[in-house]
Amino acid sequence: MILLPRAVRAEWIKLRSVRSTWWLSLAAFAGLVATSAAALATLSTTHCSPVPPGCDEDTVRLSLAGVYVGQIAVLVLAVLAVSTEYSTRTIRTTVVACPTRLPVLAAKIGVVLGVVLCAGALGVLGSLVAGRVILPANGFVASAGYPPLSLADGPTLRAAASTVLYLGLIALLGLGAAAALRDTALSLVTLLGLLFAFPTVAAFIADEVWRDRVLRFSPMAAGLAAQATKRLDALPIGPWPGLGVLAAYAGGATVLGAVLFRVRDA
Amino acid sequence: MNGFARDLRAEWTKLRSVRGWVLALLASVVLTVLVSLLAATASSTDVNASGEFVVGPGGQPVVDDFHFVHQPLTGSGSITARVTAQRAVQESARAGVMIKDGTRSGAAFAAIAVTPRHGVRLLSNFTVDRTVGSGAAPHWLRLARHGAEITGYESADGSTWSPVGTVDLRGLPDTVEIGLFVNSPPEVRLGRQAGSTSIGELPTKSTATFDNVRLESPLEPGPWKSEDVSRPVAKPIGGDLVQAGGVFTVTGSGDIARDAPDDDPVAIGLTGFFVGLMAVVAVGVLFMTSEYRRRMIRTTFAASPRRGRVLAAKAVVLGAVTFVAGLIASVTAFLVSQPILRDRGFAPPAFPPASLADWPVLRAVVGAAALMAAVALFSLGLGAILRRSAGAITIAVGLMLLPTIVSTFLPLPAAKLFLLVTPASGFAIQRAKEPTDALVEPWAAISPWAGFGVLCLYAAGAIGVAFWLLRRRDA
Amino acid sequence: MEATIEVRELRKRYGPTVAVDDLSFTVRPGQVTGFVGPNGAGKSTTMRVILGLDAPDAGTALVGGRPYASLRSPLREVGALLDAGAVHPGRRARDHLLWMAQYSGLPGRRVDEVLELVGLSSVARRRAGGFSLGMQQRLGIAAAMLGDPPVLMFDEPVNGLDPEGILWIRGFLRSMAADGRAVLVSSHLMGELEGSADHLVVIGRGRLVADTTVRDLLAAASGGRVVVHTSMRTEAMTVLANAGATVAATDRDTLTVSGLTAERVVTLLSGSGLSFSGVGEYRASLEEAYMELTRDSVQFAGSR
Repeated sequence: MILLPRAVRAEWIKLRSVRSTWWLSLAAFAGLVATSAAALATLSTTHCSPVPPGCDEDTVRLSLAGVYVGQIAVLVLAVLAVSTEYSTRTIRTTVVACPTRLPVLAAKIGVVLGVVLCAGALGVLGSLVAGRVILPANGFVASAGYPPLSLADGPTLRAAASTVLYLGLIALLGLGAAAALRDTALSLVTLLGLLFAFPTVAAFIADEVWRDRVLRFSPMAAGLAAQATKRLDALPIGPWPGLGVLAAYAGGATVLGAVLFRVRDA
Repeated sequence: MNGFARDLRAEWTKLRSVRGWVLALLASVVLTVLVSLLAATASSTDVNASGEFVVGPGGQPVVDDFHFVHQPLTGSGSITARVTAQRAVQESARAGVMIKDGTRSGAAFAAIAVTPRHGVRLLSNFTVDRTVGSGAAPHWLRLARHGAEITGYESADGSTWSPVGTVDLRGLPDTVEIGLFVNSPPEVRLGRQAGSTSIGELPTKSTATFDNVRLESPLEPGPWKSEDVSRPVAKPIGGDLVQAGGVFTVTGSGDIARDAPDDDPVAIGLTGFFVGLMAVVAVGVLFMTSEYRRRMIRTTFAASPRRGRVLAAKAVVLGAVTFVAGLIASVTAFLVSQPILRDRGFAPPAFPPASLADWPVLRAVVGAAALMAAVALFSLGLGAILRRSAGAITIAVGLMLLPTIVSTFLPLPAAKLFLLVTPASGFAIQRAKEPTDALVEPWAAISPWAGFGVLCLYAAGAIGVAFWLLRRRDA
Repeated sequence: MEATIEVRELRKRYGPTVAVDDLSFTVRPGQVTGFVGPNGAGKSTTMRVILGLDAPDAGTALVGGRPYASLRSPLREVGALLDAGAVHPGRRARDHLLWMAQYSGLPGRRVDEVLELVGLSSVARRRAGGFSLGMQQRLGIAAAMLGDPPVLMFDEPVNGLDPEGILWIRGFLRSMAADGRAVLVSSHLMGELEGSADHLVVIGRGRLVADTTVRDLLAAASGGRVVVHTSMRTEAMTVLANAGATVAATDRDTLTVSGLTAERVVTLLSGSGLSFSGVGEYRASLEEAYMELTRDSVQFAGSR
């Protein structure tokens, strides 16, 4: 039986010794911050409708908009951590080194989550800093009803923490799916489709009830509901149940991937 | 050219011999149709029952709101008036004379009017609206009716008259309403409200003064009636008339025009392409990167020394195959979704039946197939540039789908700009109706050709860069 | 742990194809056991089952008396080289070995030692994508040697190597066996194993064809024949045939005789006054012996 600490050290060496890990982490961080900054830059209080309640922008959610781009880098990182073993055929060497197999997957999950949560936390912090700088310059000041972004504020802290948690769950989803599907292209297309297709299609559904139904089952839309600090009742699903939906997808993929990995011929 | 034909055959054989790719293309067609079906089934509208518009003489949805100072006319006759002044905030506010089949909003009519900046215009039945003379108030206008034919005249001085056009209002009854009218379209304002883009319509008013009003009629002219003609839901800001001596001061509000709802059932019926194109991305990328993975590219290039030709052959084969697949998907999705949407409220009069014989509909359906092919070529180019399938797939899917999501929560002007710099703007081609700012999806606000053009630029650019790199690099 | 590999009544099928059928053999320490068979005979499948990569449908494969999956530090007990090309091209050679070492609790020092052993110390920090075929093989061998295991398994180790590399591997395998390890080497080319294998397990169409020492196999293949070198071929053929032997002319001045001892041949020829330049025992090559054995079990043959 292979000890888990050994597996974790071994998988960490694997992860850190590949260049793609580093630049994907950088891409996740940069994607988070740059996209958020760009989105915030397009806002301005000058376009606010004079009719009450006026703009009522959810500045916290918009300053975390970078997650849409950052999650792609995270997803690719997680998928590659498993699928390149199959494409380079090193999976056999791995299974030979660890014949009970499950510690391999557990260790991969551990190290990938470590990297993703770090990059994610840094990216989210960076986004909030960008928000503190850009928003006042565009008119979103305390006197207009937009206090500066601060983690001391409960809803802001929840939005930020759940964004980081979201990224971790996306990574888990990627790892599990790649373990089940084994092929890089197939995994990426399936996961990107799963994430992005739901909200895009939902936008075309004119019926509100149906649209909310679709969004409730969408891993991305549901998972990011927790970013909202305003108009929570207009969301298709509550913040924590939303993360629960994503967790269900991620958990399901992980279990499926683990079972297939354990049982199939390598 | 013989060599190129050989290349084409070789690439076609390569494409159809990989079972996974063939399955992926099939899946793409099936998914596109299924998701379109889902979107159609889940959509519904009650615009027809809402009273937002009325039905015009041609059966099309229109808005018909204005202030009418009128009386009946039986048989042939005419009305002449001089518009002495027009005070308006909207450029397309109109003041003039009109002959209408009754006072029902949406009834047939013909009119000639002055506008602040668009000259003298002849209007009829919501289909005719053209400039027939230059000049603004003060100006002389006349409408003469003979049976079902109504002719407009205009004059600068009241003595020299020039006819400016005749319209034939078939089926016009003997007794019609004739008189003066004033309208002023509402002001549309885009803003941000409650965290999203809001579209507001603010009513506006316009006041015009008329004098030298002369009605020629077989019977003795009676008293003028002053009333608002409007759709049931509209609340025009009270138009009114002040009559002093021979001077009529008329105030009116509202618009007289066609008004189709912004939702496009054709676009809803093509929603599936958002999902279907992902399988196409995978095939496009793998069609190229599979050569690199097994180092087959040396064999391919050794067999065909002109590398550009190989890429061209791949592009032709892939483009043709994905276009055909896309066409099957789009036509099927269209034929299957339209009846469903009709049952869900997307029916006449608000939504005239969409048929492939209409150019905009045909453009949307064939355009969707072309969208598929363009995305495939874009992916092929990326695969050749990056040589790794993971990166190419991610970038292609990301650039096609990410902007559609991110743009929905940006302010509309920024959203349009953002879309136009990404290939995702190609989705605009799926819309058969005119671009509109009123929908939640920003690509409905982009002109179809502009959007599709950007996508084609990306595809051509990717293939072009790939060409250049292939010639330069070692295989 | 006793250094052995025991395969008992192993059976494995992939879909409709039976890859291995009722296979039983033992690999013992102190010798190089060649695992030979035509392409597709089931060699790789057998090795994968031994290493726990594939689950057998029936039978057992034990290493040192225990199933592979039950080993606590498998790399310390068994060193295997199945696919030298199975390396991440972007990873440095040293890191490639380092993670393997970690799985079995081996120190980083050991990685440097095996790199030294196979002569790759100078390129330890180079990314594996730039390695030549020969360097990849040596890296694979280094991986197998990480745990200094008593059991070694190599699947087609000389594929793509130049003659110098082949020579090196032969010497390496022999020295490993001399250390007392059990060494299993598979190949589909008999010539490779000439001079390095002591024992042979021959497999064809998933079944055991022979399980014997090299010497016995060669002796059986040689069939006690005698080689005669003479310029008076026709005459010699007549004489020997009349004595009841079966004679074949195998070369311009050479005859191969079966049915008579070498002594008898000499007597007959001298008695008839025929001159000859040499009489000796016929030594079949391993290649010949193998072709003879597996003639019926070749699965993928080109047309002659």
